[in-house]
Amino acid sequence: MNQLAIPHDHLETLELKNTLKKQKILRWLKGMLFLAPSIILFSIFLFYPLARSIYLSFFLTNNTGVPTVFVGFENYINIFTSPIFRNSLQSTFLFVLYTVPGAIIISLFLAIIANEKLKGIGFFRTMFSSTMGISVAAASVFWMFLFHPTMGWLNQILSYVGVDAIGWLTDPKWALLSVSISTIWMNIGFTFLILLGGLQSIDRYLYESADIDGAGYFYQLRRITLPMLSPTLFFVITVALINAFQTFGQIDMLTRGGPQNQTNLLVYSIYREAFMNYQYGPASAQAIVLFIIILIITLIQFKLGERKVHYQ
Amino acid sequence: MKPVELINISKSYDQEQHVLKEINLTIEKGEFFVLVGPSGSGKSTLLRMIAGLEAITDGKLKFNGKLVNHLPPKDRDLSMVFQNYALYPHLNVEQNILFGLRAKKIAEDEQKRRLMQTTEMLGLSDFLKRKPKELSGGQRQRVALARSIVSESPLCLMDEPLSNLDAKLRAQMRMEIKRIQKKLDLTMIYVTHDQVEAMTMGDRIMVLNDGVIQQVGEPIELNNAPTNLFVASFIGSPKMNIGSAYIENHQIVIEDTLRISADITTVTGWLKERKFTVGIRAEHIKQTTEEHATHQLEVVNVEQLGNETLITFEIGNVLWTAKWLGQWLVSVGDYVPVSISMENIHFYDTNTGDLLKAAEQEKEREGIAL
Amino acid sequence: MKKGILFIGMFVFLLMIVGCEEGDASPVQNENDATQTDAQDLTEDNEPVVVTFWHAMGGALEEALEELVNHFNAAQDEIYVNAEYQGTYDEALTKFHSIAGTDNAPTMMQVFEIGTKSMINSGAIEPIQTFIDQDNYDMSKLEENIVNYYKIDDQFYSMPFNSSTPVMYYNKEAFVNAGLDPDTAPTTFEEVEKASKAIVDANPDMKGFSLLAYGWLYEQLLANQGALLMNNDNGRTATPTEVGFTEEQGKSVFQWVERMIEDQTFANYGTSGDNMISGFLSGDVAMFMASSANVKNVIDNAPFEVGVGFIPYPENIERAGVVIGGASLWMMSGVDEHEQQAAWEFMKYLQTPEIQAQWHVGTGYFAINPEAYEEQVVLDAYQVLPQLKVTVDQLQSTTPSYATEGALMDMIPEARRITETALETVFHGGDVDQAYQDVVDQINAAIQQANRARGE
Repeated sequence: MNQLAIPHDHLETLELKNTLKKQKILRWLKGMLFLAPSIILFSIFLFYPLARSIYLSFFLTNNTGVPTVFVGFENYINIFTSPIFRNSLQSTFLFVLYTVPGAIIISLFLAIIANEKLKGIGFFRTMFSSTMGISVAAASVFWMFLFHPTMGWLNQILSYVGVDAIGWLTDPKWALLSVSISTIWMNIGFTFLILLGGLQSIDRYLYESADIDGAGYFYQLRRITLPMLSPTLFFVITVALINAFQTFGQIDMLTRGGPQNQTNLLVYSIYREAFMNYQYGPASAQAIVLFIIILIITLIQFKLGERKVHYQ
Repeated sequence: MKPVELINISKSYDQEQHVLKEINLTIEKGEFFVLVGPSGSGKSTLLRMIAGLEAITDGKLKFNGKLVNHLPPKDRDLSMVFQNYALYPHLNVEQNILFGLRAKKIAEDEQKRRLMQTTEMLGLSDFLKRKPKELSGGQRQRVALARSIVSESPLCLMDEPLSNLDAKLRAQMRMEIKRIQKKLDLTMIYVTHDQVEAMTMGDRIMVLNDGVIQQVGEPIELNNAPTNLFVASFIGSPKMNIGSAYIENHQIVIEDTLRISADITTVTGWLKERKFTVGIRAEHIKQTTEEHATHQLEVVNVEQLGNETLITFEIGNVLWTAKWLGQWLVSVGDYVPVSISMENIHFYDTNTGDLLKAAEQEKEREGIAL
Repeated sequence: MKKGILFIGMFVFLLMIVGCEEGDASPVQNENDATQTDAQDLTEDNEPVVVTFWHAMGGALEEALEELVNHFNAAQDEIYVNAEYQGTYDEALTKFHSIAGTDNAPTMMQVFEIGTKSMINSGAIEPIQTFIDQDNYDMSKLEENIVNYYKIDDQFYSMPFNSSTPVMYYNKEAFVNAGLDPDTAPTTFEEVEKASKAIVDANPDMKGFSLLAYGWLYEQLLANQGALLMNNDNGRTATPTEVGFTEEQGKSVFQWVERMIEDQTFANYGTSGDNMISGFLSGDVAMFMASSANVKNVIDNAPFEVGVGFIPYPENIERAGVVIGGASLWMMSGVDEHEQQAAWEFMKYLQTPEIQAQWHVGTGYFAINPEAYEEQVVLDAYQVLPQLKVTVDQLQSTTPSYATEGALMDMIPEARRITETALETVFHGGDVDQAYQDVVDQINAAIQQANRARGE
């Protein structure tokens, strides 16, 4: 009996192993099936273009974008020695520096005051978030009028006050700032809405408890609101940073990269290089540089974020 | 100079919906006062009004003789424990406990002293650097408690602090809270929907229903002489057996089926209506032998609790439950002999629910206890 | 106050335009798809052949063009031309490059003059010479200067269509107020400066002159001095290898602007032509240079009398004239032969004197077929708008040379952006020598890059 039992046992474990293996393969297949749509879409719209861009960045191309001459890293060397690209990098970083903190601080302020339970606060919430519903194109047209050198409201107001007109979009000293202001305005709606959502999800008992503990408004703001909002803030900052680096619409509408390339942000510079100058090679090199910059910044942010963000 | 006085306190929203109606209440120093009532009765609202988190629509709230209606929470010198503890998830235990002291800028060494004292008292010393999410439910509860204690406010408010704990832990914490309250001589206002908590912890209890005070009294008082049907059925476990009754042939007829002989002369004096309602506690439907039995009742359900047995009978349209000490082997469908005595019956007005006459037996026992 | 109302009016109008365009976009597309498929099925049944015509005429110019197209479609029933606006010249060319040689390509397309070389290099076009030879079509009746620009290596690649040259617009009222002769426009750089000073002296709220930071105008101001933009005879004898202008020629424009900035008579509108024109119309600046295609529009909208003159040149040299601007029509290869023939018919139709006359009067583009000037509509229009004639005179007084034939190179769009940046630098008080040096260095680098990319 015993002697018979051992091989039988052995057989059973073998069978079990086989079934487990089969199940494992089946599970893997099932998983792949669910992943397939995104893998396919990502491959077509993300991985292939990325690979293609990297490939193109080592070539010069003709006007239709067909690679003609292999130049190795020359495109990269050229863009980094080009004062125009360096200027464009600088403008981009300045733009990010103006718009990301600008939009977030203003939105945070608006969200905090709109979070108070007051009569008619719904109206203000709608107003503050309304810019989200306005397309970049429409908003740019609106700002174009505000910035008009002679007939724009901004300059008319200045002239009433007796200040000299400012070339908002034509003066190289002002253009980037002007575009940043309009961008901040455009971004406030979205940022405000997300931050307000974050604020509203903070347990009100925390504030009540703090009230009883005798913490003042600003103490609560600093010690409760901001830390509790940090996951939302982190999300908003990440999205805003990436968006700021990818800004295109308002540049195309308001300044077309000018004056003196002061608002020639990276994405616009890529567009210009590829679709106006038909230099797809250097344009691809710039695109790769932009990709790496965003990648690095996002990585740094996540590293810092891990330490500073409190998830519930 | 009472620590807390409520004079005609009312709360309404939009001048229509009355949440609380003319609450009058005085709480003594060092008293453990329990507000109990079903959900929606307004007990939490009342507590939040005392804390200053909710505006008082009408009436006066006095602390130590001073009117405090207008004071913000931080100026009322009280502490509060919330149902969900309201711990700051981003702060560790120590920071949570000291949050209030830091906000009030209390000296560092004083902070340290109080922290040491409190955490030792509550057994939290080993968890000071942990975040709330790394703590068990009971530990979080203790942190919330510690935060309240560390403030050294003479008045402590608690809003259903034990409702998120399991039964065993809850029983343990009941004792602990009570112990700390006595030790620190805190004046405590404690809100719960659980009558067991109320009965076991409270020095005095206020039963609240639909924004109206039903009864205020010591636990024993509430148990022995519930002033109306609401209190009668709310306090006590299992709840009091209730049935409609009338008098016929010198007998009280309950639910048209159960007849109890009575000395009618003791009743007619105060009984105005022909129909009335009676109530009897489960422990007063007594087990007895065949010959002493007043009634033979059919068993419809049996619950064995180990040290006691709950037996349910059908009386006309209602179910009555008897609580017998010990383990009784009865099965559904059996007829068991019971003794129901006139002295244990409470009489209530069917229309208003008010107490007409409390059971005589209860008074006697109260006398014995004294 | 008036400005405010005007501003609000313009704003509302613009919103309306934006709204309409967004709303209209898709139905037009669908309609087009439908007619295209119909056309293939039904050519045998004598249904019209559909010609898809991409153009870059926006706003008022689009309306004028639509009128010509509708006229053509109504006049016969064998060919139906479907005109589609594809954005600015730059945008249209970009779109073309991305779909060249595919089924989505149009039958014919309007491309600006500096896209000429790029179109030839694309390999997706059928030189118009094929049809000229087949039809024995007489191109010599067209304006000589236009023929000079578009005739490359003795053959026509595209059919000239809308051509304009830059002219100088001035506010006659402001001239009168400043004590200047409103009937003679300043002709040299120096005269413009002088007039500007007089205007600013007379009215401190008005600037004298504005130059748009637009590469095309810089090219024209060079050509007017007889300067080549690119070497190798503006790329007409061989592919250019570097810029063709001398330092003196190249710097002259910058220095001219610099002097006016010093005089505080210069108005800077950056790169925005719309802002500049509205500034002129509202009396903020008295003179500016822009395409003659704006003549009718500006005169119609100005609340004062508008003068139109030749573009200026440095007084120490001879005027050489202007280069043909505007655009020409290109035939795509790889489309159905019926469609090509139909498109050719339409092109020829556009050359007829009557149509050119209507086009000239309706827009300010000059007639590429000089016979048009004999048409009654033109003669009538000259009675009302004598300014229209200036553009023709300027073109016809141009001395034919490589300089005025214009440069032929595929990277001219890039060169324009380089000069535009330099112009803006100077407008904002930047160093002229440095700006000039940047222009030369960057254009030369771009030329070399383009030549390498072509494998030459």
